[in-house]
Amino acid sequence: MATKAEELRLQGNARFKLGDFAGAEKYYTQAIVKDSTNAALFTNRSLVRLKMNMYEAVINDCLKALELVPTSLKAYTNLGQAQLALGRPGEALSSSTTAYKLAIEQRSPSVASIAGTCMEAKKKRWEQMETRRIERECVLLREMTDIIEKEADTQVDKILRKGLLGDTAGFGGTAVCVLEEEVRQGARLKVKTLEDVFGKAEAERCMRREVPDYLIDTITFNIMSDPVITKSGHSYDRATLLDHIRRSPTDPLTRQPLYEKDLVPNLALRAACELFLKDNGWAVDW
Amino acid sequence: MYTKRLNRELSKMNQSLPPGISLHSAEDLVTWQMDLQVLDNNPIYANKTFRLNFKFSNSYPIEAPEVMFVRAVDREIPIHPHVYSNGVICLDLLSNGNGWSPVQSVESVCMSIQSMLTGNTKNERPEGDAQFVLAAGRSPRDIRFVYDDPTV
Repeated sequence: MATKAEELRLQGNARFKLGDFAGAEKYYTQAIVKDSTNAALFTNRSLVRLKMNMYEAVINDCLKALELVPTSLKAYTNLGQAQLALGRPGEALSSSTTAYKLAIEQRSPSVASIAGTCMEAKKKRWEQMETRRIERECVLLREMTDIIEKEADTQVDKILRKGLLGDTAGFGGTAVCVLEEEVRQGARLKVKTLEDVFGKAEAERCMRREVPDYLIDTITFNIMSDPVITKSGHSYDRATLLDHIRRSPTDPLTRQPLYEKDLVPNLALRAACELFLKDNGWAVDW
Repeated sequence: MYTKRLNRELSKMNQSLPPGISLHSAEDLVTWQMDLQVLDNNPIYANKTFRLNFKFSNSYPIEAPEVMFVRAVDREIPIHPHVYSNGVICLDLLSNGNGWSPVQSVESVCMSIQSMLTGNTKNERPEGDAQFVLAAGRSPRDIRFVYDDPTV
């Protein structure tokens, strides 16, 4: 059974290499029918389904693969991407973060691309929060405006009623329509002030869009996601520094020998980056 | 990675550049040209402007850019014991291997080359210039130079 499944898997891989995703998916499915205990079959199919935008199916395959092999890097990687595509950045971030840790442990070359998915998930999570915040503020603005207008209505109502009853002693001789207009104008001014205050806060929020230099990786010029510190005291994003070390095992600044084992996570800086990104998801694209 | 990094370098350079260094053209993210002047009164380079051509690969800045002097109207190849007459620059910093570092940038490379010219007193080309130019054709980053004179 297993050998038949393996044969089908290889045929699937061949179709995949040719870009025939539908064909590959069929072979993987047949292979799974023969042998449903091989996690690789599920992760392979999840990748092909990712290419075919079948995100729900990708998630099912990945979860199945993780039941079989709880530390499957490919399963967590594809799971994160599918969750991101489905607009679930919180889940995507958690899956991709696990994938990132596994990739570091397994020295996988896909560290950088997984780190990219993590950043994308953080950005999407922030965008969702922003959308919700803006909605909340719009609702609040509308409610406050309603209250001001209702209050004005009540006052106008009182004036009109007194006018009808001829009880205009307190009006100081001013015509009813003039008084009404005064109340209305007062209300319009309040609404305008309110809108200004809301608008100003929003404008300021957009103005402050600058990432402090100490959160920026000097190789990619991006905000860091997993800063590591070198012997010289400078911090870099782990994924890019690993790229550099693979090519030239030296400290980028001092050119002293530097190996992967010398890298120490800079936890305080990582917390600072995370905190900043939480409130400033735009920084991912900055 | 390389697109974003180059775009950020470009926007920074559009804001400010050190004296004597200016951006000539950067129409895409493959080739940029920078103009360079030597600021002190070094008689070898007085009143002259030189043009550097930067070529980036997809792996920039992990991989070094290819940097050479180029000729153009009013732009010649500066005379220097480490600059061949075809524009190839023999500078440790520009060679892949342990010379280049990804924390370098277009701006910092320009500054290094500027100071390399500023400090030069020899009005001469590298030894074997003629043969070198004849044999040229390889990517300048992959040429193995022997850095025999650490003072230049």
